Amino acid sequence: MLKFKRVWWFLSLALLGLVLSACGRLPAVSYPGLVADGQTVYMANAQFVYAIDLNTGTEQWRYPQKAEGGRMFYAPPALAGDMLVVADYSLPGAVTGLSLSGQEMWRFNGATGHFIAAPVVTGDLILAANADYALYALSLDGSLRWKFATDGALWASPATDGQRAYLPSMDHKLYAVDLMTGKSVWTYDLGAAALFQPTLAEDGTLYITSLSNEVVALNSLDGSLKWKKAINARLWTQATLVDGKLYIGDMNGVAHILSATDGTELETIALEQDGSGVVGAPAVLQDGLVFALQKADSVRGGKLVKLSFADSRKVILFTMPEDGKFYNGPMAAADVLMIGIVNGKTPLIATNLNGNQIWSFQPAK
Amino acid sequence: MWNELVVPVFTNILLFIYNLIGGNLGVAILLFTLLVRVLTHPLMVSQIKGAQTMQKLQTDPRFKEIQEKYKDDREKLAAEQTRLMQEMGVNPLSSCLPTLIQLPIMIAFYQGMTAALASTPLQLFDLTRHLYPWLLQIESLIPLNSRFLWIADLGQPERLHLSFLPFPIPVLTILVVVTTYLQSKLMTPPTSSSNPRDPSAMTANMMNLYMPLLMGWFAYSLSAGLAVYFVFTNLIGIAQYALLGRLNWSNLMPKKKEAGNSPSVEATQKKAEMTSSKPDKKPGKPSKSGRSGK
Repeated sequence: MLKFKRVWWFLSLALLGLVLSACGRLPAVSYPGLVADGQTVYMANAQFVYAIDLNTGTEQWRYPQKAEGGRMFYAPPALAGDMLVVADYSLPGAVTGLSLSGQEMWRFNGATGHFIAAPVVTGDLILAANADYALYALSLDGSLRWKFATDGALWASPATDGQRAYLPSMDHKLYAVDLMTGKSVWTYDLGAAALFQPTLAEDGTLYITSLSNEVVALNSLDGSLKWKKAINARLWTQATLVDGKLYIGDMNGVAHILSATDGTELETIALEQDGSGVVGAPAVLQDGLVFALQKADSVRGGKLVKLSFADSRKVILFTMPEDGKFYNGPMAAADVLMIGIVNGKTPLIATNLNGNQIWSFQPAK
Repeated sequence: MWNELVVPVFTNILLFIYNLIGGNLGVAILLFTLLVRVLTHPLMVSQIKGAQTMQKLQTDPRFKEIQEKYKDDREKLAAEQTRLMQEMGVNPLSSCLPTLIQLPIMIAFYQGMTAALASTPLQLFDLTRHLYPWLLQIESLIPLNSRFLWIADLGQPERLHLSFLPFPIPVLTILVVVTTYLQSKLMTPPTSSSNPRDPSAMTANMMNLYMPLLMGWFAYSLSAGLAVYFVFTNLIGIAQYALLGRLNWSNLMPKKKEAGNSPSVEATQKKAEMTSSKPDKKPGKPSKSGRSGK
């Protein structure tokens, strides 16, 4: 009897431990990372990377086929021709090359931190920014070309023009790194951690946001400041450049339209006035932008709001029921709008361009 | 309500301390833990006192007599127990109420600290939302300096890599297990019963054995900042008990086996009577529980 009680106690506490530690780790770590081609959307979410049919929302394959211990994926995968590059959130961070049918081709195990940012493919180089403070440049076979160390965790992907990588870091700096040598060309002190990928214009201007809630425009050639503009609200997004205008949504639910030339505020439009805030970059459509808005704290649900280029008219395209939250912007591919959901019944929903839901993805058990 | 109002208070205080001391999250966690334990110290004292009076009550021969006498009549048993409690001036809430008040404080503290570590994108997003802008500036706060002693990042599980060992050592996990075990052993009051079949003693033994393992598992799998908190709060708990003179060092010593290797309830009863502070038991009147134990 005593032995039975001891075993019962041990099992109960072990179960409690497992449940509580699982509660603290698996959900709500990051948001689903998405990338799409014309037919398939690839989603990194929790223990798997899924290939999902863009038209039907059905699962084509998943990587790995079975959950592997604590392995997790959140960084949006990157497409490199007929290869998909995925990066582990779990430790130690790995970068893996997959065929488009989900077969592992190679794996790089040299990083020691989380991969939060999407890998970027430029020419024959894969740029993978890791939270271990380093940017890893890999060949398309997964071999390491060079490694560039910064003084802070890297949570954002670099922008690149094919010659340099423009790398934002949590150490408050933006680094320009030569892609041939892996050496720093210039650095710029942003005064706050940068969490989102910079936007690089054709004329060589870099636009970057940071936790100081400023939009900064830099000359990519030498890192000199062109202009900076303070936004009087929190930003959880990068700047989106369309036809010489920068679009930035803030956490008060306001869209700011700035001149890309000098940062002058051209227009401010309240997308929503119920306490919702803009999260992530908007999806760019032909006739407008679609912003994702997260409802205020403790309230689940979210909205997709479209802002038209022609007359700055706003339309609520889609309202998500009180289930899960948006933490990142939507993505558009082949007339389908997709958005990842955190802690919802489904991690991904897709609508047509009018906001009518066409499918929701439910991973098979 | 809880996550939006209560937890952010703790997060902001912790990060305010972090700012105040020049940006060391490990030291801030230690100071904040100390602050919370000092503030809740009066509650702990009243909890100990309450537990002590409850223990006195349970070892009182009259209490046992009542239990035995009215074991088939629950209503009468409750009424008699209440009468005895009133007679002895025991408040049944005095031991559990302080615990109930402390519990949400500790939970909020724990959650506030987790939120402050902001080691994941979602945690950082929530942190930026919950910081009081009049108290803290996010741009100067992030990234947090989460290096502490040998720990590279308090937001990650801790492992010590030594060059001469092929595997990492979870030092904090070991410290959590040891300090939790010590704390639970040292704080367990001396039981009136040495009978291993006594349910309360058995529960205490089980908890003393398995709770350190459970806490160790948390320390192993969750962030190092939480493990630092576990270790320090255990040490403060031991220090608080030491200050109050309540540490029970005898629990760490190996127990002498009773004669016959199986202590009878009668022996237990005798021991309880000896430790009872109310020696008002009438002589020559054997207790019923003593007889029924045979």
